[in-house]
Amino acid sequence: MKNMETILDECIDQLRAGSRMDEVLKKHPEAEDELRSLLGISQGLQALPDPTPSVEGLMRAMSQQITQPARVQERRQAKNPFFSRPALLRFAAGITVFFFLGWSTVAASSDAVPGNFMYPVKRFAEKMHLIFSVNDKDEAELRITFSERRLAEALKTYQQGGGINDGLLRQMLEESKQALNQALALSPEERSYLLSRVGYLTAHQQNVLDAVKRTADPKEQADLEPISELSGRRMHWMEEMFTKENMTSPPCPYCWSTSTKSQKNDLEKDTERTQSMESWMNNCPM
Amino acid sequence: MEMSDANQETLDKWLKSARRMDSQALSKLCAHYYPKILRFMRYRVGSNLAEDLTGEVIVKIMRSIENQSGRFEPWLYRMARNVIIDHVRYRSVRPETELSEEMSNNLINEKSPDTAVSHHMDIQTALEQVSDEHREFLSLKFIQGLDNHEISEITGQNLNAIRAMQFRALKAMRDVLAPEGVET
Repeated sequence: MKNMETILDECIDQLRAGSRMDEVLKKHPEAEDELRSLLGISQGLQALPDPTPSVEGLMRAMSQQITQPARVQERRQAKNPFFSRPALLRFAAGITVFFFLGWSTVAASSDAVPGNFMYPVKRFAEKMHLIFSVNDKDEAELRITFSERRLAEALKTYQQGGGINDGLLRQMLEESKQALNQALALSPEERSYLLSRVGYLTAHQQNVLDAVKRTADPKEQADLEPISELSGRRMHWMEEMFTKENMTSPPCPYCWSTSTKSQKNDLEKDTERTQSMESWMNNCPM
Repeated sequence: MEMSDANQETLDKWLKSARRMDSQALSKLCAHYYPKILRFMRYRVGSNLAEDLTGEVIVKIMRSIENQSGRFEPWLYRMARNVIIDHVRYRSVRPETELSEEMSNNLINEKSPDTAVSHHMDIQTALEQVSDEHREFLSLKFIQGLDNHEISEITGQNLNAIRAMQFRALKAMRDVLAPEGVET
């Protein structure tokens, strides 16, 4: 004879398979009351509501975990660059984005431009990545990428007949300025590298704007003029900074007039350079 | 976003790629299981801690997926159990401490005119009052919807012990609910 534990287990399996409660109980009249109450509780447990996942909660919890001091075992794993905190944080950002938007949605948004219904998804994904950037170098790199994207979006909009999008081009300059700001906090080597990249980016963007201006109609030229003028000032400001601070200017065959100079690695010079950079940033055009 | 609609074949594909440290596959896998882990944590340790401990589980998956072998879900729930155990052991905070506040809130809200909501609260409140061992079993079996074999793989108990635990855990729930006069 089956014991009560086995009978209950079989009843639960039958209910899970789609049987109705009355049908299940009918087979065990001797224990109907007992089974009814226990099966009712099991169904009540199954019907408990799902908690609502929140993007903020997940991001906070994961970043808290990742930025906590690693335990011994985890420190050993961290030698693998894949497990470095920035990598994990990027991953965490990926998960939150995939979870709330879906991979196909995010992937489909990559070519979106303003006016496209996917564009907000693209900007949201960027915001997630920024939130999860854990150090200044990461953020500076992201800002450079976003600046490149804004120019690409402005160009695509222009090519599709949407005219000059002043807002996007200003965001392009703003992102590269943010990259410079982040670069200030870096070690001399990293700073030099990032300044060089922003310098090249600025020169490239100015070159693209000039090319657009040459093919644009008079109205578009007029629309482009303020941003082109601002970008030109930014480029000359950077060029001046590279020259006066005796820094290595980026290779740019078509824009820079300054010759490449060797960089002094003396610590005192680096400190002076950081202070000087801060004053340069105060005068950054825009 | 319907990540949870992924079928077993898709999940297996993601798992295989994730073990080779394919970041997209790993992200999709974690995103798929996130709601399940959150639900498990929600009814094991309460909503105050659920998000934090779920985040910890996700990070542990990222860090150890490369060496994962065998079936994924039991491995995942073992990890989630260990996170709860670590939390209790290292921070000296019993889950019940967290739950008691929630329980009070639920009791305050118990006068809801909505019968279904009220019933959920009764069940939830009772779940918070049974022993941790019973709560763990009830969460795995009824809230997560696992079968006895999967639970055996997670907890290491044999099937007879699991059936006995099921009977005791449901009776413990009824004992908590009965004095309140709740129809079950």
